[in-house]
Amino acid sequence: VRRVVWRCFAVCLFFAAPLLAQDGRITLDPPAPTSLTPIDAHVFVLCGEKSHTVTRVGNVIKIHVEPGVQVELCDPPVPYLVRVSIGTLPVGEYRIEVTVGALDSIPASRAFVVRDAAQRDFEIHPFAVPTNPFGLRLHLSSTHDAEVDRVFVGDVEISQANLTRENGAYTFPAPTRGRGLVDVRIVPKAGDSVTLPGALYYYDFGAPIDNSVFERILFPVLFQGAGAHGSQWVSEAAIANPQPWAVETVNHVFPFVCIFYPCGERLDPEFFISFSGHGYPHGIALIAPRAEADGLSFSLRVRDTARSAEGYGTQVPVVREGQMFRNTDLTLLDIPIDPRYRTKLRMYAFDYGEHGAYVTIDRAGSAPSESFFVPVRRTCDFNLCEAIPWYGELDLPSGNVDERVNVYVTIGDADSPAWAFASITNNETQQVTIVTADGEGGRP
Amino acid sequence: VKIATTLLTLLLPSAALASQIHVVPFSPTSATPIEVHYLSSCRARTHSIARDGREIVITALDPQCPAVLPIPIVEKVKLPEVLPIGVYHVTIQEVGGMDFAVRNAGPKPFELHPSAMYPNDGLPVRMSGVRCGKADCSDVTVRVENEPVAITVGDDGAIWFTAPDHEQGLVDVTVQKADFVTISPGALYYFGRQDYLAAYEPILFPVLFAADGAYGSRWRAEATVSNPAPWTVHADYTLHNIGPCIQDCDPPFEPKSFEKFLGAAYPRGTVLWAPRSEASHLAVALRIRDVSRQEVGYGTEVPVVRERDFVHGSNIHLLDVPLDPRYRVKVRIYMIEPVLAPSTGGAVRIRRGTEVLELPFTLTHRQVFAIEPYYAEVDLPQGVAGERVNLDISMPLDAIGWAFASVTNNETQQVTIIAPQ
Repeated sequence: VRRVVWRCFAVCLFFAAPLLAQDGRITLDPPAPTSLTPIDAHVFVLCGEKSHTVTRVGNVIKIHVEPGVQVELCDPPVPYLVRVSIGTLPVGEYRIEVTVGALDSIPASRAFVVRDAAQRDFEIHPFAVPTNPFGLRLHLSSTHDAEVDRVFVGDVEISQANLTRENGAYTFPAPTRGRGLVDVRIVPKAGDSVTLPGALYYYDFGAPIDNSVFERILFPVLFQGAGAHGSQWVSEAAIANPQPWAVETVNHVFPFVCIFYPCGERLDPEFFISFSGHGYPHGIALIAPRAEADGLSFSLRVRDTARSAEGYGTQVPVVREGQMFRNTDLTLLDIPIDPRYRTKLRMYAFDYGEHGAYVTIDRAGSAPSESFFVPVRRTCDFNLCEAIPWYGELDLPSGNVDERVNVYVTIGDADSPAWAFASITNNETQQVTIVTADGEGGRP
Repeated sequence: VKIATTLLTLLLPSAALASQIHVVPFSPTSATPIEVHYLSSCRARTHSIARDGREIVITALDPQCPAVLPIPIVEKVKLPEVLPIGVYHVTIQEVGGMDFAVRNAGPKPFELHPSAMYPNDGLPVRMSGVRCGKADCSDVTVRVENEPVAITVGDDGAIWFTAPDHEQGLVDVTVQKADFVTISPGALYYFGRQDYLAAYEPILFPVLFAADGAYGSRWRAEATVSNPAPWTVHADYTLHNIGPCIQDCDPPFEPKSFEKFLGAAYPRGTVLWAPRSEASHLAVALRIRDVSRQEVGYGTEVPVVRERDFVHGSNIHLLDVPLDPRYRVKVRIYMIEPVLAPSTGGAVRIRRGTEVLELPFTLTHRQVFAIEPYYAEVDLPQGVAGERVNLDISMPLDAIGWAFASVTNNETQQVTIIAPQ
């Protein structure tokens, strides 16, 4: 009952706020659609759904939802997920506009990109290019080592002087362009010319981030500081780009003294950096283009440097968006609440709000379950807010010697990606064990 | 008979997975683009793809074949469309063919668990999402491919029925209430042994053992598996440390159960094959711990590796690995049964300044227990104090692989795991 009451409370808070007008209220399945994937839009409305219609006018998809009850009778407001099948779309940029009931306004809208998924004779990387690329080199390769005569990015021909062949691939500086998708046309020395539709996406740093192009990769703790019992904690992180092309991220998470752009956002081919993270004890996301993110590698450890002779620290997962949980409770199994340890639960959610998390500690029949409401917050300045997760933490209460519990976390709502881990610290040795969330089944 | 059944179960994955052709993803749906991978010694300039109903024919065009010493390669062919629900046969000209099922990714009027089974399994199936008018659901008729099945009602109101025997393939399930009929296309998948990977997801426990180590250490692994769902999960696994087994070796995971597995004899890891429709519901955890020093800490979490965490046909990168002589570093490499891989060799490459050190390995397999992964381990050489390197691990062709490095302090036996991220 408490759970239901809490959920209703959180939901009411959430939907009472005028958030429906924001972009994030419509999510896509899959989050990064291609020309081969059927697309579902998830639209969050109040008061249920009687029916919905979808019409497409050019690149605008209009969704109209007829509420299940009259809006004025919708008290308390209850969120309702409308799954709208859009189907497969050709390569392009699109905008979804949602109207609800008799309102003429557009209560929610969002833009997204559909990428080309067809098999082509040529590949070009990276997909996401800033509108002013400042020397970013594009990497063009062929599946059968074809020689290239001319290359066009949109209607701009790349000069022969700028076309360099390295290790069987061609590289050239990305031309400056306005925001949007652009085709690339390749004229090989033998054979017909090949067009790669929507091969590059030019984005503007000042514009809102398109979540169909970029994903958030969470570094859960990046900090340095003193802890209990004389401990000196340091986060040691590393980022590598082993791909033969550069990747441009929207932000950076390592210390970087910036004089000229790019200020740490550009990860050149074979790029590697290891660094001591600081400034983000509650986590930060690296916002990287989805097309290239899988090729990046990461490492993160926390380490007590006051006892560095004793060990190499403890690995903390760097969490990609596909490893986060959506629309399900998080499960952490076999967590000790033995008084010899202090156990802290850390919870993260993106696209959420200041609603709180709900933690249930299941003591496996030895005692009744305990429940806790945990406030979640974030502190960010305007530009970086997309990268900062909503965060909450809970020190688990001590139990008996050798006692272990299972922990279930309800955090996030409406498709928001969430994650959690518990850190278990030995009070004497300061040795840390990490237990991460796994499984989508929730509480038994 | 039980022994034979058990051995057959353990041997199934390897027998089922060896093939020259496979589709990616292994269990495609009506919303997933499909790529066909096949082994070849010639590189085609391009491929033609023709589909006639459920028959797909792929032809390599202008193949370039080396005159001497053909080297196997993996050709990857993207199908130009997502496919509707059904069972398909893909033929690669002059290579061979295979069947694969495309399952429903669209909204379902009701949920079935499990939704995949062998033709004669006779498993109980739980149906949720159907509202009955009467307590015993006598107003509802459930049909499996037009044949009514006997139903019962569980305490939570869910409908149960026994999956009837059926030949291999996808089967529609319908629910009729008065004159209103709802249909779930391809809701049940009767699969054959060759389709094992389409029906089961591998979940790798990289180490599960109890053994004494260096400097008086006594290592123990502790695994936990929770099935919070209200239905039984029939997985293929050998997590129990029960030695020779005659009956009920690894029983199904009961509804709302929580089990611990302590130190079984799998230092090379073991795979829990979970039905795909149930795998994400299971919650798992794994820790290793030196119990001779258990007052020092709670141990170290070792990732339990789900299918999405494996690499498929690419290198594995481990960053910031120490070569400091205060630590001993072991790299453990795993490969799920070869799907295409004709070889089992790879190498750990370490770049140290301008020098590249290559440490080759061969993945081996204890044939008796096919439910174990292919495995290799490499001890890294010691470097200078404070030295750290990145590891680039090359895997066999198109391998489904994973690796991690364990960094053990020689004095304290503290272990740090460095897994790919």
